[in-house]
Parts: sequence; C-alpha cells; structure tokens
Amino acid sequence: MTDLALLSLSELADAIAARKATSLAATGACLARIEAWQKRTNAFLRLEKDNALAQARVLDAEIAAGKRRGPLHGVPMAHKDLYYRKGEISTAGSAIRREWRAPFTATVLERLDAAGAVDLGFLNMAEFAAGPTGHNVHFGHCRNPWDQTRVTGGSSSGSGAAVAARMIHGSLGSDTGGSIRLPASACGVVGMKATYGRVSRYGAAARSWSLDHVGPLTRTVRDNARILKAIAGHDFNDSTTSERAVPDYEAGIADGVAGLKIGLALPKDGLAPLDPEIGTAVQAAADALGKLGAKISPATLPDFTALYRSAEVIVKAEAAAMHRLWMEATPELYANQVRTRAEAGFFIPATHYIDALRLRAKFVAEFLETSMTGVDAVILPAIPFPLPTIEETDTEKSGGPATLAMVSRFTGLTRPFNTLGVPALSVPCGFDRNGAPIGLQLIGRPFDEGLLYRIGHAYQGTTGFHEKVPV
Amino acid sequence: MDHPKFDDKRLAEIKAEVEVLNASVAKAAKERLTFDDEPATFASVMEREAPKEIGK
Repeated sequence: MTDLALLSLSELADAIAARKATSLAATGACLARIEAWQKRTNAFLRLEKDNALAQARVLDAEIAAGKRRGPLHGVPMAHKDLYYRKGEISTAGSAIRREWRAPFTATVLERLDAAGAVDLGFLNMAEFAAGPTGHNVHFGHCRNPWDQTRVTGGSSSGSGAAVAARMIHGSLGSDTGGSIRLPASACGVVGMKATYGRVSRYGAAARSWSLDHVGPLTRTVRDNARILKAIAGHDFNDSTTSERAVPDYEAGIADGVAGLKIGLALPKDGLAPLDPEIGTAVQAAADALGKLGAKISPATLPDFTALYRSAEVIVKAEAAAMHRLWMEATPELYANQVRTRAEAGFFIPATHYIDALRLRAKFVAEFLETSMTGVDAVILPAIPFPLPTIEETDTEKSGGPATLAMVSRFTGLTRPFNTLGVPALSVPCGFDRNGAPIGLQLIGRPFDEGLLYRIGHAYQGTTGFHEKVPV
Repeated sequence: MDHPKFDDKRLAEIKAEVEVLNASVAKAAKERLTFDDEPATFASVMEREAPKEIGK
C-alpha cells in the first residue's frame, strides 16, 4: 500500500482530486511521519493535530460533494512560525513573542486556505528570522534529517527539515538573505525566492521590509510551481506587490531546456569562495543540463561586496527600527547573536540607509548587464561549502572569529539576490562527503520564475536527488 | 541618539562595523547615484526588465 506521505504534493493533490486518496488518510500519514521524525529534527514548534484532521474531513466532504477548492485541495502543509493566523500564537521563533497572538491572518495563508491546503501547524525557525543556520536558543535547534548533528540552514529551518523528512508536502518559508534557499539546499529540497513584489508579505513577521521575500519549500519543482501560483499576485495590503498577472507556472514546466542559454558561475574568490567539492557538483548539474540541450557558458558575476554591504545596511537599519523598544526594555530576551547583529543599525545614518535603497536599481541594472546579457538564466551554488555541524556554527557558545566568519559565509551567494530582487530557485544537486545535501541555485530575470521552474523541472527529470528520502 | 545603552567595548566594536558599512555605501553611492535617483526606481526597473514573454 502506498504511503501517502511519500507522494509528492502534486501527486497527492491529483490523487485526492481523482478520489484515489483522501485528505484524511494523507493527513494521517503525515502525522505518522511527524511522530517518527519530530524528536529527531525538532521541526515543529506547535502541531495542530485535531485542527488538521478536522480540516481534512471537511475537505474530503467537499470533494465527495463535487467541490474542489483549488490545486492544493486536501494537501497537508505547515509553515514557518512567522505567518500570522488570526487568534493563534505566532512566535517568530522568539521568546519575546512566545505567547503573542496574531490579530489577523497572513494573505498567503488565506490564499492557501482558498486553494484547499490543510495546515498542520507552526514550524521552527531562527529567532526573528535572523540566522542562516537553524539555531534557536529559545525552542531548541532544528536538526537536519540527513544528519542530526548538522545544521538545517535557516532561517526557515523547520520548513526545510519537515519537507525533507516527508512530514509535510510543502511549506512556506521567508527569505531576507537566503532563508528559503539555504534550508532548501541543506535539507535537499526545492526552495523558491520569487521576485520582490511577486508574493505578499502581509502578515509575515518582518526581518527587513525591503528585503523580505515569501516563498515555498517543496520536494519537487512542480510542487513548488503549484504553490507559488496559489500564493502569488497583487495584494492591497502590501503596496510592494506587483499588479502583473501570475502565470500558470505548471503549464510550461515540461517544455525542456533545449536551446536555452545558461551561464555557469563558480566563484573562486570574493565573499564566499567555493569549496571544490561543491563546485564539482554544480559543474555536474551544468553538464546534465547541457546534455538536455541547454547551451552552457561561463557567467561573470559582478563584485558583490558593495551590494552585500548595502544589504547589511538595509537589514540592520530596519531591524534596529523595528526592534528598538524591545531591545531597550528586554534585551535579555534575545539570543546574543540576534541582538548584536541589529545593534549597528542604531548608528547607520539615515542618508546611508536611503542611499542603500537608491543603489538597488543601479545594482540590478549592473547585474542584468554583467551577468544576464546573452543568457536566459545563471546557475551557481546556494551554499559554497560542505554543510557544517550545529556545534561548529553555534555562535552563542562560541562567538570566536572563525565561527562568525563561517556563519557569515553562508549567505555570500544568496543575500545578493535579495538586494537585486530577482528570482532565485534552489534545487538539490548532490550530496557532500558527509552525506549532506548540496543545492544548485538558479537565477533569472525579474518575474521569470516560470523559466527557472522549467529548468529545474528538466533537471529533476534527469536526476534523482530529490527522490532520495532521509532514513 | 535614541538607542539602547552600550558599554565602551561594545561601542568600539559597533563603530568598527559601521565604519566598514558606511564607507562601502558611501563609495558605491558616489560612483553611481545622481540627484534624480530615488528608492522607488527599483520597483520600476524590476517591472521594466521582466522578459516580454515570461517563462519562455
């Protein structure tokens, strides 16, 4: 008998629509996986078992009555604990908001509800989405299903771990400097940071208003495309959202890559020098796409140093503004590394903050000119080194320069694309010498998520990394 | 300035960090920005630079 928890999101949704499976059985299968994996991963902060089963029963009754809400009807999901649901606790991974209840529901959760998803609960994350590794001193660190001594990546740590361990079929994360793509890469799943403005941030606790992106983590590229279609689009509650129509990303996903021009970037120096082992895996991915008919050529990336530091100015200034009252009143409620990372924001002049915002248009124009001219997409690693352990990256226990340097290198190849605002997709492309996953990052032009999905889907059609399940 | 209290050691650390960030932004701004550049241009560039045929 098929374990419904092991089906992809799309397979399950289609089976429920065809009445070959029920949402109740699928939710039960996920609950069994959660029972087996929660102690090993600490992915869930709060499991809403009874609620989820009740939702599933309603959704099954609707199918029986001939009503299908949408493309996610009956599919069990769970989300990073920064998405507000009215009346429910929403911690943002913090002690400060441990008991805080949201006054309204996030737009993206409303859209998932409308598409028929079941919500199993709230997932672990870095405190206030500030941290690239998955450490959390308040609720316990999230652990990687592939090797529980190693980090999950962050800040959407629970999303990566829960999807990888097949506890849920998909999850929303958020990404300010890599927080969807890093856990996707580290846990061996697919993560999309769509174009800035593609998905509403309304009701997602902020890390940085200017750089936050909402997006899905899933097992397959097709699953990811299905969720993005459901959540993307203009929202009157988020003035940064685009009025551009949302394409049907699944419609063209199987068009292949023949004739596409893809630039390959393997940065040897700069902020995040590449470990040769990771470079070999990404080169192999490029070769696989080449065999499918894509034309691969070396890509030139601009020097990201100024861009990266501009992002730091924006994040720190905005974090200082939003956290100031709490940092004055209850600084002891923050993890040291979360508090100290924001402190410089109090001393950044408004003129420099505004200049950093003004520079974004210049940086994106330079990137498109330097790296995207003559190519349809650029590929590069997500995390440039083999995945470290939780111990090696514990900045609370060891705040030494080596630890801090390693942690800061996590975002060297992801944060620039938050400043640039262009879409970035992470897809599993291998395993490192420790058996931990490696992620391939695909970068496209603004609002060209569909092309990234097409490339990622073609790649997954010729490789099996996404089908491997942690045991 | 309106901010939490820091001891001298921490203030020195923050000062060093801020100097690097401020210098980087100041240099990038001097090299790239003109009077007419405003933050909202970013959203316009994103819309303008989207491919005509999305996903093709």
